[in-house]
Amino acid sequence: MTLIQLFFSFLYVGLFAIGGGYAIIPLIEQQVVQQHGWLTGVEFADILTISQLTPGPIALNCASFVGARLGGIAGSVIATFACILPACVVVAILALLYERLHNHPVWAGALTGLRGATVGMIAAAGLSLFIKVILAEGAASVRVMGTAFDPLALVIFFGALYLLRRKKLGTMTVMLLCGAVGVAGYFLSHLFGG
Amino acid sequence: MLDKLKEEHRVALPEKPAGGKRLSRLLELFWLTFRISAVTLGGGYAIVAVMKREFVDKRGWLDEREMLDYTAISQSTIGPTAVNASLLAGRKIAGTLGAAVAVLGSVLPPLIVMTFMAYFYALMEGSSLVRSVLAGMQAATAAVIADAAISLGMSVWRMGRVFAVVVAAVTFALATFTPISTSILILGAGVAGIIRVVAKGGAAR
Repeated sequence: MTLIQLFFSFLYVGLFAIGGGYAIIPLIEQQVVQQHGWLTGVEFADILTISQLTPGPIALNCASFVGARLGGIAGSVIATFACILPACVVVAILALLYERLHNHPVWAGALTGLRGATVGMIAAAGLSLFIKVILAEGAASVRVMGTAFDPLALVIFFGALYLLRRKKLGTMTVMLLCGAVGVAGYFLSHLFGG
Repeated sequence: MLDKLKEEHRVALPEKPAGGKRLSRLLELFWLTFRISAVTLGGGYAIVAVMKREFVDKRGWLDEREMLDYTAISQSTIGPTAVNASLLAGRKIAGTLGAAVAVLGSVLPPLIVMTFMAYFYALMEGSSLVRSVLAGMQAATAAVIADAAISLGMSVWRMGRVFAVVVAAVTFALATFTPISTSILILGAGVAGIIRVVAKGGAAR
């Protein structure tokens, strides 16, 4: 991996991430995991989790972390600025044309399509992480038909979804609770599993 | 043509404060965006909400409608919402330099913090205790993303746009089951939206 490749990868990410935040995640995953193989799926899932836990925009946290992991401080700076460069140019232009574009039917039509695609991509990213998490080799994993399966992760996922949607708990509270459950599972499995 | 366009779409900039006053406003803007980005948990939307409190409610630098418009533009274009919003707000508050200062302020904290985090992660990733914390939190992250997809999906549904729901379902299926590149999916959805409007004779909305 060269820093130039890193720059262009994140320029691509910045150019196609429409709708902010979570929309950027599937693009980064596609670039650094699937296309270039710079990170493993597990590393990416960790990065996503840490980005979620740290203050600041998730998209930027994710880009900075991936850049730093791949190319140190230079990598971090390059990934972050490449990621926001297309948006800064486009938004500056839009600011000048806003009133006209805002009500233009073609623009509105494109946005309707784009919003739909964003929802679909985010759902796909969520599903891919969900599968990764429940099939991981965790402390509480069991073997089912030759593959690892983590029932604890499955319980945590649905518990977290319930707390977020029904109890309206904050993201941070839910994340910390789930981390604590993960640790408890680790100690319990050591206690009983030897 | 360009002059006419400029005339029609002139954005009223506040009178630029001269000399020292201008410098102090730029510094204040930088410090505010830096601080907001450094301490606000919960990503883009949360950051825009705090910006509204600081820029509109506390300082009166922008009015409510402007902040709403900026949020809408930020969400419906490319790039991170928080950065886009700070660019637009910064431009309105202190001109082009203000935009640059506000973007820099939003970007620096994640850059610094995450670079440190990457080093810590490299030190800790072998530990099975850390692994188990991350495993629990990863399941929560999957739930957070699912929650976002459900909420956004419902808002698309509520807007009564069957079309957007169909696009969401098709995009989801293609992204999950085929190796088609994300950029093609996104561009395709935008083009489909334009074709739909044009086919209806531009009357849709």
